[in-house]
Amino acid sequence: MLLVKQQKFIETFAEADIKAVKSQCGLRRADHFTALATTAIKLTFPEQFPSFLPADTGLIVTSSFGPHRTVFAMLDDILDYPEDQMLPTKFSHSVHNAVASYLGTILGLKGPAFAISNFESPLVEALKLADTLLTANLCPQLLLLAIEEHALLTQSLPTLYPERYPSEPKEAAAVFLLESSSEPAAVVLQPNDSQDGVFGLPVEQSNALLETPLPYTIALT
Amino acid sequence: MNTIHILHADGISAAGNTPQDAVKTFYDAAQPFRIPSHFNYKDLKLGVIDGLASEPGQSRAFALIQRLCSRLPALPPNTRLYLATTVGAIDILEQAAADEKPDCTSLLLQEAKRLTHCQDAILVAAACASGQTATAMAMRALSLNHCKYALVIGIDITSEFVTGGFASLRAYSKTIAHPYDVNRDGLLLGEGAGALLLSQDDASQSLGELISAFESCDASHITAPDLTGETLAALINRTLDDAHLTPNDIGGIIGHGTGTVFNDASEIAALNRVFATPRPLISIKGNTGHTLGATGVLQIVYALQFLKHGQLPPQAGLTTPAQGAEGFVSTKPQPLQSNLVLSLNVGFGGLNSTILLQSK
Repeated sequence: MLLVKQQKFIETFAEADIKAVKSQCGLRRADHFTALATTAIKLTFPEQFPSFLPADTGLIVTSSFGPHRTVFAMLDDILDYPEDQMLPTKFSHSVHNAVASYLGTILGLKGPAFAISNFESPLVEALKLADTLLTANLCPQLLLLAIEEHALLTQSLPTLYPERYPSEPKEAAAVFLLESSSEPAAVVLQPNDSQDGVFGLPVEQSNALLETPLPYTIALT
Repeated sequence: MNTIHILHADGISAAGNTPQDAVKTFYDAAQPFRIPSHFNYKDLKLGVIDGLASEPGQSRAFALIQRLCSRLPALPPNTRLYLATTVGAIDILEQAAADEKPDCTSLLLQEAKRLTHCQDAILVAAACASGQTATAMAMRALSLNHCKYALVIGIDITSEFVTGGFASLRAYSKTIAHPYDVNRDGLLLGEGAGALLLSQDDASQSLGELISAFESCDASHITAPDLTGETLAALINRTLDDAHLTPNDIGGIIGHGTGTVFNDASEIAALNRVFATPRPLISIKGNTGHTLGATGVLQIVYALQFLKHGQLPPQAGLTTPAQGAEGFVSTKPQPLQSNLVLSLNVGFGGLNSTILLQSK
């Protein structure tokens, strides 16, 4: 069972917040995806950020599309420039776990750090992994970030694949601070075909996460 | 962590189409790098797999994973799939014209699920540490009875995207890969795919055993490792402690060994912190090139072969060991000191992974 000690769902990122975080954390060269991720953590823990977690805290970043804005910018550069004149920073940021390494550095986290990806249920898969890591005592607590950025790919999905994406996936983040628990579950997450809630969850389960007062426990079936 | 049995281990790389084919390449210290036929970056040689062609508009990664999966045994029901890759089927996007709908539904995870019939699947994108990270995830899930069988596939192809990216980082050797050599000057990329079928049960069919695995993050830089080696050393020590072992119990080490100045320096520093007496060390990247998401799985696949032969192959590309690597690497085959092998995997962003395995 997972104990949710702190959580926040963010569906709107103010430019002023992003700018402030970039300045505070020295993210001048970081891409939009990294800036969003760091801002999401700051908004969840505004008073204590950035030094509020012990170094052995685990970290999972989950995303369906990852830093796709940077990936496609890199592809454009392949067409426009010789390979050895492409920006190394752009390539580095196109790596899916770049944001995990940024967060590890900013927050001082030296525990297990992962980036995972899944189209259908990115949050459930990440919670399953968190449950495994915490149950195995690999870390005493774990910071989980689910995040999607909005750019040309996600804008195009309803046109390209309406059968799977009836609307544009939103730019959003969900942050959880988790521990292991043996208490009875307040929320049960069970995958089914409906994925209209946050990060691939069914709506009713998504609402349960949003509305249950903290702290609460999650069971995964 | 409970002991996890390896029921199936297979790999394809420039070293060979099968692990048995690759053994000759390793023990000959051969370095079969060549200019790829599907693109050319300044005649840069890569670890390209023979006979791997894809249909126009299809991904080279699909051809590779289809070849690997055609050799899988029948998978038990509810086998969980862990797919490790850095860029997956990126060549589909490279090929798509501006006015074409890119075949984004035909992505590598979807193809892997189709080929394996595994519905419970996760894609691990931990850069160059993806392969071992995915293996460690599978080991833990099995130990906790979250699943009974786990299939780990690590795969990456050579592509313009990644070749260009590492060119922008000035990461390539001007000549050939020289892991742990005093004159090393960079890496060469390769393509590869490896598969491991794992279970806590079926010990009678075990090809080898995975006994411990851990991960950590250097928390120091987006790409470069911690050059002191302190974090990786701490992880190695934790792995040994968990298995109730000492450094002298280790028979041999499969290092990450890319051949870059910084990675190898960091690893050598870490190994010197842990091992007062050097243990035999090899990097397979001298033979296969750096296969990115595949390398962690391939290291385990080939380690089983090395354990069978009772010795590590000579380090391909080695002329003179780097400072601190003396006693660890050799231009000759080295007898394994025991049936325990430590495998190291390191990724962009300072992601570290260790796995301990032993022969049956």
